Amino acid sequence: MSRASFADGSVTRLSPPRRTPAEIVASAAPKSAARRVAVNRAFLITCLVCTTLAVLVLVVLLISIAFTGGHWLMAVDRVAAFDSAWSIPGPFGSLGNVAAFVGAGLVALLSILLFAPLKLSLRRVVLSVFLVALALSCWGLWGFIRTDFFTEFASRFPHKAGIRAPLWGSIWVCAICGIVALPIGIATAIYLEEFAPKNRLTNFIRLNISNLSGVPSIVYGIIGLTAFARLFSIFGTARDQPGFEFGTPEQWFYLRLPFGSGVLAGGLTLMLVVLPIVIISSQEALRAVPGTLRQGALAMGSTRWQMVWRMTLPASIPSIMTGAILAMSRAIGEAAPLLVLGVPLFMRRTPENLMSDFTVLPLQIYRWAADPRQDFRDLAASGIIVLLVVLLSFNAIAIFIRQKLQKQLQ
Amino acid sequence: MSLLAVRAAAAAAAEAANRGKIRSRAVRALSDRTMRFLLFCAALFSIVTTFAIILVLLVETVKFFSISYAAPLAITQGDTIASIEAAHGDAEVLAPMNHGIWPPTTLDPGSFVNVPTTPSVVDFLFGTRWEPLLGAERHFGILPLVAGTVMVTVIAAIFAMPIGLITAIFLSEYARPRTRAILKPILEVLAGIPTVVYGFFALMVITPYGLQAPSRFLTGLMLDLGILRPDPIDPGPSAIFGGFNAMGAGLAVGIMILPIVSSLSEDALRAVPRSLRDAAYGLGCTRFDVSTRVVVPAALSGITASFLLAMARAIGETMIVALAAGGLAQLTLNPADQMQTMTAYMVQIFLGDAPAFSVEYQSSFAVASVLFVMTLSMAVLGSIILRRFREEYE
Repeated sequence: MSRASFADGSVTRLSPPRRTPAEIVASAAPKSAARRVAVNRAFLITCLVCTTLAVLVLVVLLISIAFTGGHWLMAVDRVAAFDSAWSIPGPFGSLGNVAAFVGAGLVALLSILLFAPLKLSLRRVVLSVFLVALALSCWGLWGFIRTDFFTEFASRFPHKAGIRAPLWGSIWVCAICGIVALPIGIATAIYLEEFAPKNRLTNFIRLNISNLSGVPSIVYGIIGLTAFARLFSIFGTARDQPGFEFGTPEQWFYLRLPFGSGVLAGGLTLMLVVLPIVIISSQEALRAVPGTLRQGALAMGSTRWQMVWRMTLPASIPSIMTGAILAMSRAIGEAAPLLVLGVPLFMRRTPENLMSDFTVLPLQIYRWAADPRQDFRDLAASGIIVLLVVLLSFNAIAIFIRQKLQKQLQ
Repeated sequence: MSLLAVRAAAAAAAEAANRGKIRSRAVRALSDRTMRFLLFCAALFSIVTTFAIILVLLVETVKFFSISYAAPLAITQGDTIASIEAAHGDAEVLAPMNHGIWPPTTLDPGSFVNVPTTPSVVDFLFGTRWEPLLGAERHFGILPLVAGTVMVTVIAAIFAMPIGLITAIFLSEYARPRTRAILKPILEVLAGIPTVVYGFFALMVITPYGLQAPSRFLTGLMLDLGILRPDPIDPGPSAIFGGFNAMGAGLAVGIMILPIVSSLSEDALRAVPRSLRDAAYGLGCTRFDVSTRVVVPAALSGITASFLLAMARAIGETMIVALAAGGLAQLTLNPADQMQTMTAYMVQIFLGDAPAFSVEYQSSFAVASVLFVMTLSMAVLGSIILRRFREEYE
């Protein structure tokens, strides 16, 4: 349609008035090659911008946390003495310089994560340079770290506050979570991949697991509160009058029904949260084992269980472990379900038995971050640094295992 | 007893294996069957969990709708205590409203008495006021909380879905293996960061530096140019965004779901067979044409499923909104205002703002049910789309 006539009879040209035959041919073609190439290039630039944005967000996040969190992690007087003795020239002042050290350490850790998979000839050089940088910054930083931050309980005064209770709480809860979730999750995966007949029940279980992985973690907290902490009120609701007791509170295995919001209830709640993750990653690991191994074992006359125990599991255990580590790192960072459980936010004791009250690192961070005073927000950032160091090292271990595994398979 | 016997047999079988004896066929079959049974029990655990979730939420929600609480009732002309008690069962006269006369004999029109009330399902689902804690009169209308959740989710989706999809296309179609090997772990690190950290990031970085500072700069610029008139009370350039706002929380949630979108979409894109790409390249297509006209349409079901899963995660996200979105449940379309989401309300209740087993405490279970239904329908929709619209290639 090159012309449009209007009601008053005037004619308007929509296309340019005079065109050479070459131009007409070019416009008749759907899109010129040059234009398509240009669009392609523009899209590539968009891609690069988007990907850079994602990476930039991570970098900004890490740097901002390193800078705000450095303050309460550092021994201020020692930093000041170091500063006057050596007078590091730097744009950020003495604390800022040390924070830059922390940032450098985090960047070095991150770089190891990134450059480990490279198949460069330079790879080993880069890796060892960054390892040396990491070791140096850790060694240099260790003298400046306020160990009080790890050995003190929470406090009204920011300079006395520490993460002793949440650190131990996290360790207890994650240990219980791992001890319960890993066997159940791996067993479920083995059943679904190796034993399950093709029927409706199996399909239902599969659908069920994929739906469970989409349930918000705070809903799991509600189940934990009703089913574990209160045991459906079967054994009464009063805390000081348990319906059933086993052992004394001095023993670590002290058991009381209902559980109350102790470490056992917390660990079981987290188990519900990470169970779908463990199941799905273990299923993928088992699926990656070549079928010829299974057929060989069955042909030798082994039962299915012998085949699983002797062939499939040993072959897939590294990738199952990778999934398990990632699931545990999810458990360490999870705060919402434990918050629903009624975990106290201010805690000045470490857990002693399975029924002890506890708090965890993410909840302590939440409490500090929700405080309007800047000092406590800085404390939250210090807690985040500790949490992220733990999580990044978990991720690094998982990625390392995966790389090893890929090499073996190749 | 039979279970004990089975266990003993399994133990005996294990012992025999340890001693290196050749096991009889019967023992091996028995141990196989035992293990199969145990594994089946483990698999049943997930079904038990689902039913426990549904049961607990149902029971507690019914409990919420049957709790009776005192609600003020306005007195109209001709009401007596006897008539109100006949209609509502009980009437508690509020002392200050009786002009000091006790026992109250007459009720003035326009004053209030407290009568027992139970929350109604219709008001809960369609009410536009959520005031469970403040004021004499409580309102349990969930729409403001739903609006907060939807607002945060939509902001997150607008941020994360295009960027996530483009990143996925880049990783699967454009990037060289080496680039991919670097970028994938970065996205995995982003996915592994706990959400409370994103909440801190939203509160401390995104809101003050990403939203407030630019908006303050812009209003200052507009004041200087004379587009805006200065506010007589606060003449300086003001940030439109408050310290708590839906925008900052939404962006942080978007950062959180970005790796989910990108990695799941990338899986879907990589599952498209190579022959389709080769055919398109053979016709003279550029990478852009191949990506947008061949690969993305072929992987559309997987991409949609990843979007839905990411949305479900955004709806259920708790710590970010509890820290950064504020605590005021209001029905508004302004992302610069503070909004309370369903999860943030539950955090507020379970942190001890309400006495246990009171009506506002139980209301959080009803909110959890709505949340569960929303995320579950997302997940089911995703799996239906994935199953029905998947394009199978040989």
